[in-house]
Amino acid sequence: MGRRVVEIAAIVVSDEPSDTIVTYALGSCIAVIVHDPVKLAAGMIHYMLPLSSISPEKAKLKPAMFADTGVPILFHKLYDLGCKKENLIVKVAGGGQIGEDQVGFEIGKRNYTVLRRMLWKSNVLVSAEDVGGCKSRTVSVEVGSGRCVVKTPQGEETL
Amino acid sequence: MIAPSEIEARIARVKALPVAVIEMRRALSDPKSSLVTFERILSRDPGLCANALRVANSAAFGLSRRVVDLGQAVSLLGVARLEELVMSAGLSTVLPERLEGYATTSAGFLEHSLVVAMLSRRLAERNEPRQASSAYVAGLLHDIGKLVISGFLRDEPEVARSLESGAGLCFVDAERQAFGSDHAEIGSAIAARWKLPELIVDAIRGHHHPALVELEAHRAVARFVHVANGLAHMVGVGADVGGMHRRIEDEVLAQVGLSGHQRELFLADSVDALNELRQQVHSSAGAGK
Repeated sequence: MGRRVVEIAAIVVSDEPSDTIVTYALGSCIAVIVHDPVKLAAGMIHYMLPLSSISPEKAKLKPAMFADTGVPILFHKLYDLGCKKENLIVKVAGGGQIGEDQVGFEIGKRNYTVLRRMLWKSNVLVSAEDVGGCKSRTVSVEVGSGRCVVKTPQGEETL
Repeated sequence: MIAPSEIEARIARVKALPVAVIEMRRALSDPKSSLVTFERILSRDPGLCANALRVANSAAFGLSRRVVDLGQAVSLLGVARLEELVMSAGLSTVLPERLEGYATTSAGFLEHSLVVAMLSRRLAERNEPRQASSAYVAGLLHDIGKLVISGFLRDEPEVARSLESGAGLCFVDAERQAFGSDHAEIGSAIAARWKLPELIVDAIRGHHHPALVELEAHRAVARFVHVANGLAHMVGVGADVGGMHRRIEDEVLAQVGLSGHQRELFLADSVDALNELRQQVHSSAGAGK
């Protein structure tokens, strides 16, 4: 059984059913978790910022840093493993923010808004999510079962 | 409220820095010291030795060969990095296994401290390059007062609970309301006991409210730590019982040159350093978070 860690601004996909994909401490970053129960494959991106337009050079080097450049790559990597779009189950976690009333600090919210718009445009439904609020989350998904767990300092729950 | 005498007694109970750290700081501030001096001090402390070699071999130095010789590692690291390394090693020796009151482990505490130190140094490099190492040390030790407050919180868990429910008060202000002091003030007292420079003592005291610091040169470092701390929480590093209930003062952000897009660019620039630190902590803690 392998534990595959997703760093910040990275993507991990796997079709090894005994793998668990995990990312630590999301903060205002967002994890998109995708599972294919037919192919028994899963993937996760941990992106940090909404739009690559602030630094096209960085987006070239590390496309998974941004929602707009990273999320399509996650899906394509899964298609490369043989996953079918109609079978994919998509979950979202993260997008927290510091202090409820910090106006200039809505990166978490913007991360989420941009993602929803992208998924909506490509007809992808989100089956479950745990986003927003003043919490930092650690998320894992079991490739075989698709069981997705969100942990915070207050406890853990299955998404 | 906790009586000031009780707070003082608890501060006195915080462990002293290891001998090697104190010797190293003395040697670093002595112009007569040479690489041999540093090497000798390091070689007496196996933990410090291992750390020096690990950092010298880290991606930051991008060497193709492995450094195995301590003297080589010391000259490669240079005096500034050596100071940072010695302080990080010192911090890890004074931490208890868990900070019960904040519901965090020493690994979690250390990860947050190291990330804030790294971000503080990067902010200083952009604004006041001469203060880079001081900013690192102040960032590293900014939360050291939590060692004392943790005990108070454990005895009065309702303070922590009121924050989790999102009562709108930022954690440091809640500490002050409940105990009559907060981890920034207590941390600066610990740093003073350790005989660290005034600059570090002041920056720790002002890391939540930089305006509290009188001297502008010291206040500048407090601002770097303030912003670095907020950003670390934002990227999720340092999740303790306070969650993400923090404040970054907009004015301070502007002062360190991180308004608007600059902030996102700074975070984007820091990703590799962040990943390296997170990896380090999670591999040594056995992913116990």
